[in-house]
Amino acid sequence: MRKRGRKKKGTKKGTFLFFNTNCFAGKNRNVPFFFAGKNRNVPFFSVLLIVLVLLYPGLTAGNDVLSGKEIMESSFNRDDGRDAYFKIEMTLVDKSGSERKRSLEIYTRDYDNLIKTFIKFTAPADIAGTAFLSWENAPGEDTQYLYLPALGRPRRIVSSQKNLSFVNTDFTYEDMQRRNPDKDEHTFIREDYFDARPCYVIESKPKDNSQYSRRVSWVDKESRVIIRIDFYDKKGDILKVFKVTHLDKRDGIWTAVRTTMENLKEKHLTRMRVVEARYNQGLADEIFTLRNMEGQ
Amino acid sequence: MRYLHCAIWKGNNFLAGVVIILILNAGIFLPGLYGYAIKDKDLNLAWTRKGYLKTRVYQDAKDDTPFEKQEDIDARFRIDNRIELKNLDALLQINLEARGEALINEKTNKDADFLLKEAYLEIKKPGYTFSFGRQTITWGKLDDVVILDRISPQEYNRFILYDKQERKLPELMLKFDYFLDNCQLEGVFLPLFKASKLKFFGSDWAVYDHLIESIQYGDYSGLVKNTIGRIKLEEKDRLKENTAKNAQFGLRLSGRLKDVDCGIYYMNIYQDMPTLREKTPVGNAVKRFLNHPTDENLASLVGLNPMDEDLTLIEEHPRVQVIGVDGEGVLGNFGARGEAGLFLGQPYLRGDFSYVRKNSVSIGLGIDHTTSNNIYFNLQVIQSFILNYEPLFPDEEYTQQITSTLTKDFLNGSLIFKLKDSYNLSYNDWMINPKITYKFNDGLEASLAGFIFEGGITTLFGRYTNKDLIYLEVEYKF
Repeated sequence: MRKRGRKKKGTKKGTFLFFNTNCFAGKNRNVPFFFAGKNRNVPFFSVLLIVLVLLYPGLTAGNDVLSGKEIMESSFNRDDGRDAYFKIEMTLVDKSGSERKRSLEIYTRDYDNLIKTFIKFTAPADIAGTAFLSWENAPGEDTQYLYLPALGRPRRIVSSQKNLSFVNTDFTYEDMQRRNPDKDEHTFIREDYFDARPCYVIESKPKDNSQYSRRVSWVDKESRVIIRIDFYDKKGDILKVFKVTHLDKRDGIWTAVRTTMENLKEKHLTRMRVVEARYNQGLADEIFTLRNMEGQ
Repeated sequence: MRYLHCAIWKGNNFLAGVVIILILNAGIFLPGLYGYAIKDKDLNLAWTRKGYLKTRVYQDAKDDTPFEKQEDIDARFRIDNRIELKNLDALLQINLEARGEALINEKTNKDADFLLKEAYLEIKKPGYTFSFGRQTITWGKLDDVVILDRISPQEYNRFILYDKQERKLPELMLKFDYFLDNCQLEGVFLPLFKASKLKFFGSDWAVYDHLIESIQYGDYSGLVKNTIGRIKLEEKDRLKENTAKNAQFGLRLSGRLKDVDCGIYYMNIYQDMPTLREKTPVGNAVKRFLNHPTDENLASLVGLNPMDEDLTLIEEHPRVQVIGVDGEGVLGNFGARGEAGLFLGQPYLRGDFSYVRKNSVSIGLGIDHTTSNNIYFNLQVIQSFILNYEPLFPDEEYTQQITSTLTKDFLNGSLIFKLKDSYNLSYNDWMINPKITYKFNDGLEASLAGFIFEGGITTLFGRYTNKDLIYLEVEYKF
């Protein structure tokens, strides 16, 4: 494991060049200790350059100063729109290979400390009209409702049971939520490639009562989208793998257009394809209400 | 009462009703008819359809009556049309249903019905919603139980073989919702009265089964047959009139208080289930015989030499006021809910079977939970008590009922096992309803289920002790 702050030789030529003291022979001998080398005569502009690099880490490529938590925070805080609408086709594949298809629509909106999500299934017929409403409250437990046409009214459901499967998919309620980086201890593991995209690989161990003992995430450097997650169960065995198989920009916002969630133990797979994505449409608050659920 | 009586097809052909509905839905030759969404750009119109074809074949466990064979077929075809007129912020909902029944007897009886179900126009504006037309409404927080959910009448022609939501009958109403920041005020106005559908005679699921027929075709004297044959039930004349005097209304104020969803209710409505009211004091003897059909009570009735007026009972639907509250929240890993109602002027029968009205209270509490193995259970307890109690038939002063539901799915939701039961602790009668459903792809599902009823003859479930049955259901949803 490479220590934070140390640069791997040969990978970042630009920085290596800046920090090669042999290049900066000069009159000023007041060189910070970490630049000490054979030639202490470092010119003023070299120091200025170093200061600039420290102040603007974007000038250098690579994880020179970002910790695991910072990387995860950059992912969590990336621009994903004030609100979003997705039309999704979902395919459930069991171990025999037989498939069940579902269609759903997802509406989501940020309200400072509150994220509201409304999901409704539009196909097939036996599940059409089923709706899910979630108000993710930052400080407290989430408020969640499920509407089943057979019930005729929205029912309050237990949000703390996040280990339960979301409508028989390979996603649990915990997986459906945006996970605040403060809920985990993050460790930068390495840089790697996934699907030919350079990534930061971060291990996250939950501080709270999660169904997983840890998650290993591949954070795409360019988009800061998490494009792969390996989920480990309480015994430490790998349980599920989430992958983004197609990443693209929609309305200028990076979108995981195709994803898979594979349960390695159950040998079951959920594939999702974003048919339509729209951001910053000014979604009405009324969408995220109980009366809208009843209107399905 | 039929909403759309099409005499040409009566008693004829269920499939004809299906064809009519399909034709009314813009033709059977349009591609993608089922679940087809039409969008008209000029009107900004979105028209979606969905529906089902459901067929049940019932098999009674016992051959307990010569008046109905043990096999029975019930077919229903329904199509729901949802037309959104986005430019007008409006929604038009029109739902149609065709039904066919075959009660297999010595002469096979068939009946077909063609029904207009929900049909209403809804206008949605920021801050309020207004709808008018034939609608159903669901109030209260408990499942499959009626405490506060009293606005919409229900169809009990097959008792509770269908779930509450399926039994509900749409009726003409004006509904208004006003949305405030943290709460919602909902009001309903029903200009006309519609009773719940309930048979008293002539069906396996009638309150008094085939009692009249068994006397008429049994080994009884001519006098007995004549007396019993003249027993008649009348609907209350006034309630059949379409006047404002029969109007009903209800109000609900709902909101959230510290993570609990709660509501306060007031309703001024007619009792949807009829209570039989005597026209003369001899009518009490009629009711005594109907509820306890013993030879002694029969002889006692016949011995009174009753006139037609004595043998006529009125299906009374008194006006009742309901004040209620409900709430729903989460307690740890359990969902919790409850509702309570004070009912002013509920109808009862005294010990001598005379008609009386009293006030009563019902309180229901429920919890539900899903285990880590994905087993879902729902338990509800209802406690009722009658104020200013005097000996009543068959109601006791304090009554308790427990209902429960257990659900477990297998094969990633393809195979579902469900067990529902209801137990009246006070009267020691109960019902159990197991059901296994397999979901194929593309909307097709098949179920095997049964109902078992036990208890005393005068109890809710006990009167159907001999009606235990199993049924096979095939449903295609589109």
